[in-house]
Amino acid sequence: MSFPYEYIFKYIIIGDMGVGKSCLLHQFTENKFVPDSPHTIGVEFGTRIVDVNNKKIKLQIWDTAGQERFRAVTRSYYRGAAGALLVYDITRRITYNHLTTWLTDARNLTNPNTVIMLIGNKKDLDGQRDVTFEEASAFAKQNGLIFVESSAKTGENVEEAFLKTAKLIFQSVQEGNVDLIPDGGVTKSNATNNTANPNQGAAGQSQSNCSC
Amino acid sequence: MSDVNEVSSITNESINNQQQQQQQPQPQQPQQQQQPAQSQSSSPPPLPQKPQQIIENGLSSISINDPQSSNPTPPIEDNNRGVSNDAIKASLDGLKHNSLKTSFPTSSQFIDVNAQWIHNKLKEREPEFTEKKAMTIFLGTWNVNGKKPTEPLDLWLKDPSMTLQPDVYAIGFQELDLTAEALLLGDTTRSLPWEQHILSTLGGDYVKLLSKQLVGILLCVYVRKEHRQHIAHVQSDIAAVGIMGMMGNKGGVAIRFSFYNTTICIINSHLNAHMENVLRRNQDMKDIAKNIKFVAEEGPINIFDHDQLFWIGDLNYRIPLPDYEVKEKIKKRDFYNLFLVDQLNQQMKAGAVFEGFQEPPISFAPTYKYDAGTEEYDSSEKRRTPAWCDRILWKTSKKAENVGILSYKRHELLSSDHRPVSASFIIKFKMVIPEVKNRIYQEIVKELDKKENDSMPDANISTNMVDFETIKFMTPVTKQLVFENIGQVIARFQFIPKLDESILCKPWLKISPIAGMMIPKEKVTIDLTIYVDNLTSQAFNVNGESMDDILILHLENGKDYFISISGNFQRTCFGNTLENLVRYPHPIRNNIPIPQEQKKLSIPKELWKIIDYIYNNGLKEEGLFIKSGVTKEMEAIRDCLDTAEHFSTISFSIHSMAETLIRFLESLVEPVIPFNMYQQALDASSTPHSCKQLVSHLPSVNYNVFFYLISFLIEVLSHQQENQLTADQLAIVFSTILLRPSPLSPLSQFPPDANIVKKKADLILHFLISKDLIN
Repeated sequence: MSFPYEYIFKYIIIGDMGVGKSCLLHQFTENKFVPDSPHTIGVEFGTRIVDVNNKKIKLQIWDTAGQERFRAVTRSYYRGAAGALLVYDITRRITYNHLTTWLTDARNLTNPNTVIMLIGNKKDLDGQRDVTFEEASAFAKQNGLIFVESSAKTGENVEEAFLKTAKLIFQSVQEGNVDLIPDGGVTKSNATNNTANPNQGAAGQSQSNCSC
Repeated sequence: MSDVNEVSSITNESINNQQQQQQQPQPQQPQQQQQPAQSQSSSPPPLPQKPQQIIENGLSSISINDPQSSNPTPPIEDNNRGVSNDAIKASLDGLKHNSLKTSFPTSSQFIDVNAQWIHNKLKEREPEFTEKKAMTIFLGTWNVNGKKPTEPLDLWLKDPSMTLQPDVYAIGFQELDLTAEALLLGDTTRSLPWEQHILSTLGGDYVKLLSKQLVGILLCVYVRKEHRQHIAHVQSDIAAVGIMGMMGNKGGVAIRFSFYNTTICIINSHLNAHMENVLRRNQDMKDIAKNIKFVAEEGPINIFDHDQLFWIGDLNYRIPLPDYEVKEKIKKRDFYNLFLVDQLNQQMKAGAVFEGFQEPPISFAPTYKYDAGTEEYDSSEKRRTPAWCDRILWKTSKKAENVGILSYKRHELLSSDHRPVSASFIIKFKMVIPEVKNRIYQEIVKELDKKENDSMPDANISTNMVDFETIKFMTPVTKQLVFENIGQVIARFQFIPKLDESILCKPWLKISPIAGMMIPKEKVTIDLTIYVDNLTSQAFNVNGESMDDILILHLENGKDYFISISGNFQRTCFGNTLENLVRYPHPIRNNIPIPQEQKKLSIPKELWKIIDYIYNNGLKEEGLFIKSGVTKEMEAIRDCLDTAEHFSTISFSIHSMAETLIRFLESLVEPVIPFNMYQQALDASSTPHSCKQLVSHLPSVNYNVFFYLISFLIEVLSHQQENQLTADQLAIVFSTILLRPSPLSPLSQFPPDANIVKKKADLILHFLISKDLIN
């Protein structure tokens, strides 16, 4: 044991407002569920080190605002994501119907090797279900996404969603599909940037511009 | 320590094993040789020639640590130990000054600080993920007096009375090789037949871990095959004693390793001989103990930094009694009284040597000195008194559980003048439960994650939505945001542009400050000011944009905040275009343009209203267009124009109306004489004819406005008697607003020189004087 981690993977969490993106992040990073948490207006940030194939990997997770009016702005954060968690709320069909637009953004603004995971959140509210598992599975299959239903409240499948994505990214790294450069969303921990540095993505771009 | 005397051999298997354990410190000699270099790590390395070299070095270190690479990675460990506080401080200074003068530790060394923390935490919680198990260790020592192996070793190593098969054998020899070559050159091949002999005695269940030799002193460690994969950190070292530590056959060799999680160190030594050399032997022991060093994960360690330490060998301590008396007692097996006077026993009791060591009770006859091949003590002239030269001691560290003694005996092998001795012990060791260790590791890492997340800056913003409500032309409105550092660390913030944009916000918005720093609990007020002027009004008046923007306030190493800005701009005829204004028969604030295909107004109705008012109320006013108006009154007039409210509802001076005319013309996004005709217009100003030519090329609305204005100004001049105005004055005032360079043109950056001012004025003047130009 020498490094606490060998790679850094950048994730983004996207999807409509109120589907539970921030709750998924908090559940994953802190095992905490905060009911009625305020809407994210901006981009939040969390990290956690996980174990994939006995390799320590630091996940750097960017949780974005879901409101439509911020859409244009949140797009700047997609760049350089190795993993994208596309979240909808199984009790609100409208959030499911918007998946296509989110997916289009994700595909257009990330690397072709970015692993996109579809998450149907609020599994605990099965009684109010508005989107069936089968239907979403079919959608995922059709679009080549991995799919899981989770509950940020109970924690069910939250860990799995993040880890499964990390596994697939790692596999991609091992197959040589992902370049070890920040734009591929994967960084080696001993490369130039070790610390959790939100400047790497969208904000990184700003640094070259701030002189104007 | 002398390289000349050092002989080290390692089996292929152990080499392979070490490669698999890449992350662990290597027991290899190069590691030891690196030691001095590491200790100097706080002093700056040689200056690089070019800054690029540092970058290149940085890159090359990446490849070293590539997990796919088959190279072992000792440099990682080196870094781990190499970071001193000074080095970190130096590197921080280096970063602060953005200086590449001296090469500073790479960032990977900062990571190692984290690794060290995790390592320590894991160590603290070791009892949680380890299980107590027992193992047996067999230690043997034999001074073979230069003899080659001739007799079977079973009597010694495979003692039939042993009930437990040892898990580890540590076998030490002394005087393996008494030849001059061995003494002088360290050249010895004698160990091979002994090692082969041992291995064949032990049988196929055992493999050699490591052997180490210093002249005639050899130490070999064997382990049961099934344990091999659980043994790590195998290292050895030697320490010679005597003059300069050289030219002597006395000294010690040591082998250390960890058996599962228990660290074990074994020393085989040959101390100085002869009855009278007690103090010499004591000093030998201390020198050996001091000079043997290893490099472990956590840094340099010595022999006492182990859970279990065994010291075996020909320690050469004697029994200071007359020969006959000793032999007498041996015959009676009165070992107790002999032991009481045994030099080693005496010295240990006095605390003069082997401090903290223990020895199992001796219940066997002295092992020295025999006539080789017989059971007779020394019958030569020297008649050396029998002694317990060959001993086995141990010391258990305070942290570890003491060993259990299984046996301590001598064995009747006759080929040497010494008898071999053995001792067996039970060692309780810690066995890691991998699943539990992994879980605890995760917990520790998670704790670190949490700390790291907590140490990210956090701030609270008073609102994410700033609504400016109604914004009027040329009227600045400021709203405030309060940004508060609610985290535990200093928060640095700055507004950043959106993707693919180079500006922070729309041009009608000003942010102040755009960056800053807050210590914990500190608040910063950020002013947001909207000001729509001639340049920025076009977006709303002409292009019909809505007034909104999203700002990104970025917290360094933290989150980003989005701030929505909205406002409702009151559309106005000011900051508009002639082309657009003629499409509004209704008040412009109603925002109902007439469709493109319908007939437009010939001139903007607002212009007509202003001029009509002055025509009716102000032609005779002295100082018309020279005296200035009142801002408040002009704002009221502007509102009337935009809402079609009658002027009679407000009160104002004629000068406010006159200035409104000037301001209106000045605010036009493009002046009456369009930007693209600016240069032509200057050129044409020389003659009335060319002026007329130029004006005939104006777009129709501009043409109408131009002539309407000129006609009006001629009318104004017809009242010169009263208003005291001259054609020159009016020409100067109006030429500068009817004819101006584009704000994008470099010409607009500097005030025009007198020559240009004159040319502009001339253009208007021609029309004011030669009234026949308008027809």
